[in-house]
Amino acid sequence: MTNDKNFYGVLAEFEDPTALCKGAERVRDAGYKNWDCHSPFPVHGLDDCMGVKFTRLPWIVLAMGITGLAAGVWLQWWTNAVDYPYDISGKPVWSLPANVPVIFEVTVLFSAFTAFFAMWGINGLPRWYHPLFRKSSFAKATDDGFFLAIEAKDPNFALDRTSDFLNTIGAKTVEEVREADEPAGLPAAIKAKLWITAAALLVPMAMVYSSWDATTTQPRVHIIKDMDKQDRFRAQGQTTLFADGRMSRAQVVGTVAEDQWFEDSSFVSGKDGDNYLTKMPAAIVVDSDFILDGQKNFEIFCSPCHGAQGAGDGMIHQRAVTLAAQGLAVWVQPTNLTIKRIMDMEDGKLFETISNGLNTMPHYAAQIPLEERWAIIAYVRALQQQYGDTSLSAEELAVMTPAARGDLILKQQGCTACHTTDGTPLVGPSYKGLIGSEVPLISGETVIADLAYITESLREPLASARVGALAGVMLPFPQLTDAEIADIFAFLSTLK
Amino acid sequence: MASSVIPASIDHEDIFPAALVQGDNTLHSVTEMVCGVLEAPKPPKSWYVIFTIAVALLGVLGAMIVYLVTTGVGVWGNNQPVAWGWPIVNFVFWVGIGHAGTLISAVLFLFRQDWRTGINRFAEAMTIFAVVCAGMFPAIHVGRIWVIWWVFPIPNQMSMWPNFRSPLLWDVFAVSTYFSVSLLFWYMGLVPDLATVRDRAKTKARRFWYGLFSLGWTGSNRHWHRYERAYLILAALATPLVLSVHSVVSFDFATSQLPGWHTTILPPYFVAGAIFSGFAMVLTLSIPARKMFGLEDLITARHIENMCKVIMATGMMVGYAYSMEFFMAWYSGNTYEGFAFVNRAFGPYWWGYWIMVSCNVLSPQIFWFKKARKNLYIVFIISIFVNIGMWFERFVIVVTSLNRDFLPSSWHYFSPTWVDVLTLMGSFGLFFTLFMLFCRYLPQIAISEVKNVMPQAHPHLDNH
Amino acid sequence: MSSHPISLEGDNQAGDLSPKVARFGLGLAVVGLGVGAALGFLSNDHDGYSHFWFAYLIAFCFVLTIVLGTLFFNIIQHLVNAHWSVSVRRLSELTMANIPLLAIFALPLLVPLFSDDVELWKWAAMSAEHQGVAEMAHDVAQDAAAAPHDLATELEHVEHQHFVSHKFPFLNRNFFALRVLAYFLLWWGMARFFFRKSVAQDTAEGIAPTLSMKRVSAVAVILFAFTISFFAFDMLMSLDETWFSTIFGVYIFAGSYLSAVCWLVVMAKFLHSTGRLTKVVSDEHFHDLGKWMFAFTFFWGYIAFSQFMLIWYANIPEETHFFAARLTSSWSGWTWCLLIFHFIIPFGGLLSRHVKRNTNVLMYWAIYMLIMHWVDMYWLAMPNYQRGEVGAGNPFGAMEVLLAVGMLGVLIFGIGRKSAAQALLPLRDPLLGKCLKFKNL
Repeated sequence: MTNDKNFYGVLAEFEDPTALCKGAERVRDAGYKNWDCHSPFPVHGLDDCMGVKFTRLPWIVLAMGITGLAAGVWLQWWTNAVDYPYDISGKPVWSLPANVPVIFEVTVLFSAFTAFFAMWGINGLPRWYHPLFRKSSFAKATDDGFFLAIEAKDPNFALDRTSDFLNTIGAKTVEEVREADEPAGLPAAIKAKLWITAAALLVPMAMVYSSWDATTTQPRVHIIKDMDKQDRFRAQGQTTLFADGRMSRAQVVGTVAEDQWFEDSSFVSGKDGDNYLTKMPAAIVVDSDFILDGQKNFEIFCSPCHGAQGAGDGMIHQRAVTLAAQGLAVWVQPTNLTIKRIMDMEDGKLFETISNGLNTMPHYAAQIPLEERWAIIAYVRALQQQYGDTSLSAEELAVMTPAARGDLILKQQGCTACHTTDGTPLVGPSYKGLIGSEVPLISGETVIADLAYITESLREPLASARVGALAGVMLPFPQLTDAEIADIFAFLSTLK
Repeated sequence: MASSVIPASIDHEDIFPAALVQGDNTLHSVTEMVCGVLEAPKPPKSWYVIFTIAVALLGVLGAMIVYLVTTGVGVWGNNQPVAWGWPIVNFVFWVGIGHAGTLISAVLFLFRQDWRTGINRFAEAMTIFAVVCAGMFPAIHVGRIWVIWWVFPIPNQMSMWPNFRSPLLWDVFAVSTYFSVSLLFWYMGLVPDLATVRDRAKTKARRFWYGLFSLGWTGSNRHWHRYERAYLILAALATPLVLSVHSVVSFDFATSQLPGWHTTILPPYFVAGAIFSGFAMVLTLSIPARKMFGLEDLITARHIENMCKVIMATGMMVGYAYSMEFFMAWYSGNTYEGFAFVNRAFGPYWWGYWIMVSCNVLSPQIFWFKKARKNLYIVFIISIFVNIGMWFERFVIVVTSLNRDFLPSSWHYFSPTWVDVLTLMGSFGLFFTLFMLFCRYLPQIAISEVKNVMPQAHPHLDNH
Repeated sequence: MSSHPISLEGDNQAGDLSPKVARFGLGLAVVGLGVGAALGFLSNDHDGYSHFWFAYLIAFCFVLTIVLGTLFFNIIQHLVNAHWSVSVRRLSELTMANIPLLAIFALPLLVPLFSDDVELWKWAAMSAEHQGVAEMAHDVAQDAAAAPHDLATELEHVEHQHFVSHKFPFLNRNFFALRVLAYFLLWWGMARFFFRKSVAQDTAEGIAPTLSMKRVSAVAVILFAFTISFFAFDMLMSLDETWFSTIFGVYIFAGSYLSAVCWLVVMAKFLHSTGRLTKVVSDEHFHDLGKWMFAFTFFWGYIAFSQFMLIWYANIPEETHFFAARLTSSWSGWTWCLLIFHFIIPFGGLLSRHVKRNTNVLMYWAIYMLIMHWVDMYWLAMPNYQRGEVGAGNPFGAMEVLLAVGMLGVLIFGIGRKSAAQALLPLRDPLLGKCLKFKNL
């Protein structure tokens, strides 16, 4: 012990690792406590010579590793299974095998950080000033010098005795080390600057924190063109580029878009002038491949409603009927494509219906290419040959009663899809008790359902403006002759 | 036969390899040699040449990233069905290279392979820079790079959390953990050497900066004791970490149901490939560097030869995985799996597959010959081949598995755009810029560790 | 560098221990295999003694993988020029030298291979009666006409048959037998080479034998990698003829090397207890062997997890049935047992350096891991017994234990016989000096 409080201790240099180890053994045996060796690399064997106790670092790392393991489990469990559970590819929200990699990484991360920082912490580093640094010879401690330093605060320390002792155990040189007279530390000016910098660094963080949950009415600043700001015209948008201010542009008159020009316009419209084509356009060759192509598209696009055989009983219909039975839907049965009305319909009219839709049937112009629409018609015709109405001959019809003929006509025209004969209301009113009843009109008046009313309702359903007609579901049937309408009336009159 | 005597004075370099430090070197001359590089007033001319090229490429990278972020990922060649194109190829390539560092530092340390001391600093630095290059690709590929923080579990006003069941999120954790741990490991190894530089510093700036980062290291043996224990623990932690990182990268592919990606051998196969490419890159860098900075005494022919052997071994592991995949593709009886592999070798990207096989499996076979392992030109060329081959391996895995998907109408021949190509080149610029700065300003060789394997470092104590 | 002459005490010879060990092993083998076989044949399960053959295959693979692990241990130490392992290398050589002996015990497996009654490798009978798809369809049509309600089952059977028939060029009786013969010939060749050269080094003046071992080791390691992989595919993976996993070879290798290191610990510890090798195999060597045990416990877990996780995650029917069968039936207990007792518990148990340096504790862990290795083999193979049948359980009883112990007895007998002729360590190995001096950090 020494009373000079600026006195740090003595520093001895040894020749090589062997000398250092032998010297350290002697110092250890002499009972010194506050002393250390300094070498440019870890000298193996020196720990035993110095009597260094085995570090407790591994246990700290183990403890923190287990903490990391628990943290990894908890993080994933709480975030994915508790706070924000959602289904990903059918995996359970808490699916341990998929959580193992992250648990492992977090465990390693915790352990490694602990090993690193705890090591420095236990070593008391960083400590940028050390009294030994005041000795220029000590620079060799990181090059090729082997040093042993005994501190003055060691209870056994006595300057002369300790120096002599070091000389006797093989030290090359022995030096006295003193602390600086002035306390080591940063100059006040630098200290102040550091504080100001540290405080300034808090400002951006505080700003981020304050705006974290804040709401604003101002739009975001778009430094970079993002997907929510794109240079394009929207369908109903405004622009100053065109005189009419509209973004949507109509097709320029007298032009046809590329790929949409056809020599034979009936191929595109299904019409020859104002009349529907009664047969396939000239460009089409109907062969078995063509019909099979039609079948493929029919089954994709048509069969869900019209059924695989065109009977108007597709899956959607069946489902809708069950829903309708529970009062969950209002449903018009899809047209049976094998009834006489459709069999008599022109190819062009069918084409137009596929292209533009009708009533609740959507248009398919966008989904089905032109030629394939014609192919569907060819297939529908094939279905009609297979499953269609077999018409009665004129003689056979002639011997039937008018009411029986009327019943037949209603079925052939598909009327019974919407109208029943037993009083059950479907989309349209039931035929039962119709004739002679009072039908309410929109104007509030009523009209008696007689032959004139029936004729008008069939030929121009919208004209009478009766309640419900404006829904526009009822199709016009201009093709019916007066005789046929009379037969229908006769049949309806039987339904009291 | 009561006792036996081991034959004395047998000397054969296959059994007792040449000393790790060649030449007539002392502890001090090792310090001089390593510190001399960063204390020289000017680096060698070749340094300037490489650094200029690297910085120019770095500029290209910056331009490409700005172009990408302001325009959108459409500037890349990625498109259905090859939605994972070059960015993921480059990511896996760079992450793979980033494996040698920790492997050399940690695994070879656990295996008591002393020769690692000459090259571990190099390799660790390379690791960190390669991981930086790798991490860049997933970050920029999201397009809206400013929301990349969504991949981290940070509480946010949307009350959302990342999906931990996704392999892509495992990647985030694996790569960032790997980067952090590698950085700590590297820095920890640097501290005693930075103290050496500090104690030799002539200028105030050097004394300040090297002093700051050397944390006041005094070489105290009580510190060394904990330091070595911490180093061992970090090595023990880094070893499974290395396995996990590339395994997790392989999970990105293998957890899918895509033929060519979904195969159980992928994790160890990726790890072997990573070590393979990493060692190749260490050779590519260290052969010129030892010449440029005059470090031939420390990175000796023995170091190079050992690395060649590692390359040969890992190259054959990769070859084993290639053959197992092919066998199983047939053995499984799965038509799609079979097709994926036939398509790989004989489909539109057949050239990629055969470049991969020739570079990765065939070219290292030359290292069976000691003469080849001793010939620096051959070693350097093979190391370049391996780098190329391993890039193509990732290309083959990503692109050939995707380009012909289940629906033939979707088949698509993927080609990169010029942005893809320049971004990859730019990533080399980033890598070499960082590496050249490292060579100039930090000790390239772990001085204290090299000293530790020199004969004069071992105390001769009778009682031990 | 040159090694210092080191004088070794006279505790490095097996001496009179050899016949004792051989007698003990023979006793174990006779009792274990004999009583095990008797149990198997007494309790006929009406499926050609399939249960017995499963138990036999498990016992055989259990011991053979240990032996193969020691062969690899030898090869790799030469390849990397390792010095730490020299003191225990002879123990691994004595173990691996028993490959021809085990090849004899592979012969009984020809019975399940070529018998149509035994359901061990189910593809074996299938490949023999293999018929074209058209014929199968014809048969099905006829069967269906006779018994319509069986049609679905029949079709499933045909589909399965068709799927497996793709593999018949590889999985057929003759080629299988040829392949296994080839593996054993190759292993025997390698083991014989390394054993003879190592013994030659004991009396050699120079180090020529060591150098030639080092040269051959590079080629040997490649041969080993492919033979053990295909051996694993053939013997164990093909028990489930539709399942496949590319990592399976690595999985078997991991268990093999792990059990080999454990075996060396047990051997060294046994020799210590008889006063042999006490100066040679020190705590440092046990510490290193313990590190290998720990590392390969982890590696096994890594490979097992990779295999499981990828199959679990993708959940493709053709692969996932392997784990589905082992996780949802009465096998789930064994699967959890494997996870907990083959990985988690030994991982924690072997983590500390104090455990690895306490040779008694380490030996208990080694024995424990050897038992777990048997459980691993059992878990791989036995679920295929009566696979898919109603009431199929996990038969475990005296027969399984006796056969495994008996097969170990065969190995011990072989080691006992081999150990007499030469010392228990490579006396003049050039690295022995370094081996005896090194210290763990």
